Amino acid sequence: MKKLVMASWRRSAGKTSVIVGLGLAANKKIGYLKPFGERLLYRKKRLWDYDSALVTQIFGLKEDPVDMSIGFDHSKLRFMYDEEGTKKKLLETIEHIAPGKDLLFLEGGKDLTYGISIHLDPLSLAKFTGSKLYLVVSGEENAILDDIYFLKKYLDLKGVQLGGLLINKVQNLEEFQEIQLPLIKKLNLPILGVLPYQSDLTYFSMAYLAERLFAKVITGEKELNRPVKNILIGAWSASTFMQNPVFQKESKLIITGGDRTDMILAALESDTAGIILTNNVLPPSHIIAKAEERHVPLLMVFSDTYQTAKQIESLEPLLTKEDEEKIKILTELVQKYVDWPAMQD
Amino acid sequence: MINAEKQIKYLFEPRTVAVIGAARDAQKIGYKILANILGGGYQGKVFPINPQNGEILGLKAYTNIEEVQDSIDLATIVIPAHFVFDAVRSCARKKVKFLSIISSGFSEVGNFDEEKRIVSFAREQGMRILGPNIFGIYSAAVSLNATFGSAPIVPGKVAIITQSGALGIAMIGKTAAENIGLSAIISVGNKADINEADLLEYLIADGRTKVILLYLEGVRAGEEFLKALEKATKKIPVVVIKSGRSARGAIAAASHTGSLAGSDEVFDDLMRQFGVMRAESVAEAFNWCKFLAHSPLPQGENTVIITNGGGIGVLATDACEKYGVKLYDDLPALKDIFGQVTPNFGSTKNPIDLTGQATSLHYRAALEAAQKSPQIHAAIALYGETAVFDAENLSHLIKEVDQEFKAAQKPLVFSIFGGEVIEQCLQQMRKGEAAVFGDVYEAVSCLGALYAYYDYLQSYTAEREEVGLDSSAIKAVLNKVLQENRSFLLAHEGQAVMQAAGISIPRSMPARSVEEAIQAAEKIGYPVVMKVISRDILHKSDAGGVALDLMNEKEVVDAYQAIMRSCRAYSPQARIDGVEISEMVEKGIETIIGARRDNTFGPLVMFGLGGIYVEVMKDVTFRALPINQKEARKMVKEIRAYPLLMGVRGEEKKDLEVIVQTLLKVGAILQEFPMISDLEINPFVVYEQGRGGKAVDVRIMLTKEKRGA
Repeated sequence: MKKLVMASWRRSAGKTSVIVGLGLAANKKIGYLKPFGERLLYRKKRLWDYDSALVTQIFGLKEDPVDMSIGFDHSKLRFMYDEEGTKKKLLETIEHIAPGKDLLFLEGGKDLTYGISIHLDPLSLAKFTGSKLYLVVSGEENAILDDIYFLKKYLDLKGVQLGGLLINKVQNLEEFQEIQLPLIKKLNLPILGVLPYQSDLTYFSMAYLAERLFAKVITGEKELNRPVKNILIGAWSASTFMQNPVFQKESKLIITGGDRTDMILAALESDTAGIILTNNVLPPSHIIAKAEERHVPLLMVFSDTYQTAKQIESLEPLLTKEDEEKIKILTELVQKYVDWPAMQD
Repeated sequence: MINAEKQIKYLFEPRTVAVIGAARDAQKIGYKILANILGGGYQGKVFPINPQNGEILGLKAYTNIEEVQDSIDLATIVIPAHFVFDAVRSCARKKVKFLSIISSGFSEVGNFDEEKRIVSFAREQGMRILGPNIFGIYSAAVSLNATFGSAPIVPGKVAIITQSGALGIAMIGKTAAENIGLSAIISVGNKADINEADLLEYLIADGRTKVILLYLEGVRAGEEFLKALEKATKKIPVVVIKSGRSARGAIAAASHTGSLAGSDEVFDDLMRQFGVMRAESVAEAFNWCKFLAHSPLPQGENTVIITNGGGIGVLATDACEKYGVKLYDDLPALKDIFGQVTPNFGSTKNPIDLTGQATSLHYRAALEAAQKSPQIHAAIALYGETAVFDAENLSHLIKEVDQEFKAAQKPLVFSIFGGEVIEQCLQQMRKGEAAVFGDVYEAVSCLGALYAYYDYLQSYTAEREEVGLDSSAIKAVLNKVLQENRSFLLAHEGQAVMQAAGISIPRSMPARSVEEAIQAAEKIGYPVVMKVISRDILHKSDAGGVALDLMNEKEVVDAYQAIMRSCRAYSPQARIDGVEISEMVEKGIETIIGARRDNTFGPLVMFGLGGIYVEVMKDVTFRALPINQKEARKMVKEIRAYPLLMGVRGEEKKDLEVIVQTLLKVGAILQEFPMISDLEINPFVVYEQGRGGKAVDVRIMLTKEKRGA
């Protein structure tokens, strides 16, 4: 069984999406671990990582996602394990997962250093398991270049072998291949793929928003899988609001107070993916009935409009198991742009 | 300076009255008031004030009040708003005691500053102001009708205080038509100075007033008002009509107690607490007032219905249930009392059915039996018109029996129903003092109002029990919160207050790390509950900051991680001070006990069905503080979920005494510490009788203004 430690230079580089694409493109029996859990889910006194649950569902894994993470919190891991203990626990977990698998992905935390104080950073994972490290790098083109230069010039990976670089979410692929890529190639680092940016992968669903914002779903429970493609804050008069160019766009999310009935009604009459009602104010019953009739999800949150918008701004558009279209795009991206056979060597 | 505070008597019994703005034009209010004063039989001196001297209605007119030689007790001001302040200044120089400012154009139209200027000046000068924006005052004590009402006022026993001028004037006409004699009618208008509380003070002591009717649109200085009501209802019944029964939008408030207190039900609860009867309509209020003014208070609760028809008897029985009139049901005793006077086919079960063959003689005999029986304390006489009844004797019968009942100190109401003869009788009876109605429900509702008042007097006690708080411990907690410039208490601080008050709380310990959380859980014993401690996260459950029923170390570790992560994600800027580990509270009935300083009514205490659905169920009741054990027990009985507390479907009765004691303690804390604005225990879990209850979640907030312990 081949073990691959997948890490990223910075957060939200798209590690999990790349793993999903790689796994599906490989068409092999895969296993997955997220030793230092990050995107935590806590239900019925059980704790698991969002990414573990996602990979389990997409690949139909038999293992319990609860067992795919050793811990989620520095203080807990510090309390329970020293370096040796961590290594032992990791190897035990791999042993438990390994049977019948061709490939095992070990996903690191949000960036290269995350978890180092409790020995669960990606380099420690690679060292403990004797695996190669694969680094996903993404961002603005020149920032990618800087990160890779830094890696080459100053980072000593302390004996961990760098399997290669996966350059992800490149906005202008042609330009990148012309300008930055030749410079990167001169550094003599293994480049396994350059994947272009796909806007379709950045949309999140109403269900995801409801979950992340701790929102109460008032209506449209069955329509929560709708993607949000545009976001508009309803803070003006309804007439000004309707003249806003974003209002004319499809699949928009409206963030407004529950008492702004004019705004909500205007939104219900147009192509709206959903409405977030802030300040925990419930609109009048006829508005709720209208939203129900139009199958538009109404989500109610405690925070005010500013805080809600800020929270949404900070959300990562995580993949969900229902995102069949996204999963298909990811697989095709890997097949087209990643030298997957080289990775499996 | 005159100490006008204690001279309210001069408002009702002025020896001299000046009318500033007295007019010669009969269409003007200034003329009408003067004419009403003169025509109403007032014996004191009256001074018209008008810029053109000469005579008005045969009296010498003065250009300025200061020209009058006599001292003036009451000046009625009826001039345009912008001249009022100058007139008030003249009154001050003249040392007038009371001003009745009829003029409008003040706060009711947004002119707050002018109203405030006039009132502050008047108070500085030792004068008190009735109004502005009123129709005036009538006082039977000196036959003074200083109003611009169009109908003559019949003197009598009912005093009316009204906030609405238009309705007040209409009431003058209506009371005259209904022959409801008035001891006083006062319009309070904008209530810029004199309010209901000041007026009640006089009316309960004047010896003339037997019932007070209040028409309110809003309440100001509610605490003072409630105190005045408590004093009043100990002496005479008070009836209130308050507009604004419809539900107001929920007020954004930090506690459930706050948002629930926004409703009209609070007013209802407080009126009940102080024995005030709230009428649904003006007609109902007038019926009650007339009846209460003339009826003796009953000596007991046993009421009988005497009827000549089964149908109206059943209607009356339903009405008795609705209005809380208790029907006497000792069947052998009823047979003894009425057996001799009931026809063969009749019934001596209550209602006493004299059957359709009953004549006035049968009625007289049955009512006499009721009046003479010591077991019976009140009667409802029903008559449906029949051919055999000698209707010509009906009015006479009613008058005689009514007087006999009054002499025996027994309330009696009649409901008579039928054709023209009955209608004529009803018209005739309206002028008298007997309580005769066409509708059964109207008749019984009057008796119901009387019994509500009777019950209040029976159960009233001014006694307040000591509850025993460790005040210094509470003060220490609050001072620490103030030092940190916070306006709310953290969970452990709230618990410390509960402990100092002797209110049982789940055992709990704070923990700042996962190790401490495990240690705490082991000390307390599994299962445990874990809650985030953060001054920035008020809605812990919504932030994923609560984990329940943790059975072992592994679950504690997982929950700790989950809470920390969820809360950080929910509010990245929130300061998190660790978690609180507490015992998993055993299941019981979840109630809510709250207390708050209401902007209108002052300190209130609330009890109801608690838990997360408290604002949906709205099964709560309020009282103004202080309360005693008796009142706290009434609160417990008042909620709709009371049967749950008494034990349903074979469940045991719950510990009602712990609720009563907790209500008293919570009330006492709010009263002793003026810096607390809200104190809420939700849920307060109540167990079976003798097993007490536990304050599971406590929320205490401090006022922004009163920060001194």
